[in-house]
Amino acid sequence: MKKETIKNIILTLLIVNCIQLTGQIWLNEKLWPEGYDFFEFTAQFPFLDGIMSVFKKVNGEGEISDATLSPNKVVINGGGARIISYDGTDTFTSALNLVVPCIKKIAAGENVATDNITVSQWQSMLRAKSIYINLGFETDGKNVGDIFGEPLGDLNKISGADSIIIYPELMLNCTYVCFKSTDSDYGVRYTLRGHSEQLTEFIKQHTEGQKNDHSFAFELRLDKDSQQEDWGQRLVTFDSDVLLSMDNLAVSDIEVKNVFHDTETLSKRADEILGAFGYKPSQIRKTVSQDGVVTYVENSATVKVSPDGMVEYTAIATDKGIKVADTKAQPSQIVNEVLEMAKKVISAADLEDTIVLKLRSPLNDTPVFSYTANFTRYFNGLPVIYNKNGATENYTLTAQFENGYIKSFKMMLQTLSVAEGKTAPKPVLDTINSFCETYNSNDKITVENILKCYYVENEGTYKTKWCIMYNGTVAVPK
Amino acid sequence: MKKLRILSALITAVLVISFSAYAAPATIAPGQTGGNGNFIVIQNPPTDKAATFDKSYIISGYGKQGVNVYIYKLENGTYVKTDYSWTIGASGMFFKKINLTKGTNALICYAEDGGVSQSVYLQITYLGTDLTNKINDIRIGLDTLK
Repeated sequence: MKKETIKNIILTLLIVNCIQLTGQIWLNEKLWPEGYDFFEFTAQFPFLDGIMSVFKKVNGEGEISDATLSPNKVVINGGGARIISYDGTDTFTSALNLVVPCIKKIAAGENVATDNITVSQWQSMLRAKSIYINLGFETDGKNVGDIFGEPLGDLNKISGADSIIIYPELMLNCTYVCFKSTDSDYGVRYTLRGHSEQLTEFIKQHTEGQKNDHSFAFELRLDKDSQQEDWGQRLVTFDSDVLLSMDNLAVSDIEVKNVFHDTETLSKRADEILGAFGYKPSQIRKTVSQDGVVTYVENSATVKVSPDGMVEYTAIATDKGIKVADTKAQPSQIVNEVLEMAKKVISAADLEDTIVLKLRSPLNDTPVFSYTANFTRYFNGLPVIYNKNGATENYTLTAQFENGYIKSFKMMLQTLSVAEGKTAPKPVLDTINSFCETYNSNDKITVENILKCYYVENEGTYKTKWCIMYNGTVAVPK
Repeated sequence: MKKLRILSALITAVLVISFSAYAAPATIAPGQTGGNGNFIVIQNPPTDKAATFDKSYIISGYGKQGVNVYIYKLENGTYVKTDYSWTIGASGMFFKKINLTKGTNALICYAEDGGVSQSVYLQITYLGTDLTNKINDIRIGLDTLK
């Protein structure tokens, strides 16, 4: 074949390809399937991968820990003394490891009895030697195994359970595993043979010699409404299982650093983060506001990346969002999709940290049309809560699912590290009093939880404080 | 000038007497009737008598904001003011951990506001940490309640 002919053929092919690619861009069609990554494709061919690695974009190795469904806290009740342990400690891990075999047996149908329990039975177990696990979110029987990090089968009597008690009955050599469940009057109890000695020994080991510095609200009878007295009526009560701590333990301070150190880094990383939502910078109009917020506006959605680390994706309409399911999806599926998006954002932002995000939305297997996935970031075992222009934000990551699409996604990126100092927060009663001083209403409130947290704003060093959760909101009194 | 000094002295005396009258007494005699104030409600213990295997006990309750509360303990026949005291805050509630001695701890929760007082009598028995102590060392009798 003559050289000229070959040249003409090649040129023709190139021109046709160019026209076809242009046509695809104009018609807003993606050039390759969802999730396709050229560099992952070349990784299958070592020789090719070696060549392409020169051009491969290297993003950060930051990731999300696998503790998303890990419980909020474990309380070891010694029948007097009581200790609280958080994720990341040996006691926490050891306690969960003791519980796993019990849950496995229940799922395998090896429990000898199942019955419902009342609130007074639940509270009696909390007063005695037991292990109390507070999940931090509601779950059903199918997802209980995920909490403990392994498939444990289906506990089909469980629905809307947010806490578990493991109670060893030494004299009868049996163990009760109780779930606080919305399906029953108060809770569901499974009775298992054995395990009681091991559990009792574990509880004794961890509570002997400890002080009684933590009390449940029901033990102090502060979960009851007060009568009208001469001086008025008490506005604040607590949920029965709220744990009131009287310890004065100092906790490490934390240091907060912004992820984007300058406008150039922000601009570069914003382009990478855009990719996490399936867009390319060349496809979208990019603007930078006076306060440094990088905004991408596309026909179907807007993506914003702020200098303080806030990343926001908002679709203009539900069906213009990111499709993850047909119409309905199980919350567990939605949670996984949101976490995958978050992983891409973290990697694109070039973070090196392993970020602990804990789910705070109900988790069950009933497919839904609409679901809000909320996650709180934890550091050093404590939740990180944000002060955004005077408003308190409890969630580091929030995504809205509607009719098969992720309609919005909002995530705060910051680098956290342990600072040199340690601080004990002010007494919890002082915090409650401070909260009441600024609470401008005569409506009674029921405190759902009160716990230590880090309340952060911008860059800086922050000490631990108490935060109060009530009516689905969070307050961090001064 | 002399009148001014006398006036100042009178004002000072009145203030001192007022504060002295309002300050909680250092001791309270057993059987002394409590004031007719109504400032606090004790939630825990739920009744005036309680027992525990712990060395400490948390007294909880609620009351009028701004009221000062003091704990007195029976020692050698007299109720003596302890170091446990607090002022009720805006929440209206309180919970205070107090250490116990072995055996019966006869206490008074003394609430005071503007010269008016209220006394709530409590008896919390520390039973010790093992059954042997409970049986052998601790005697709970009516004579210890006097």
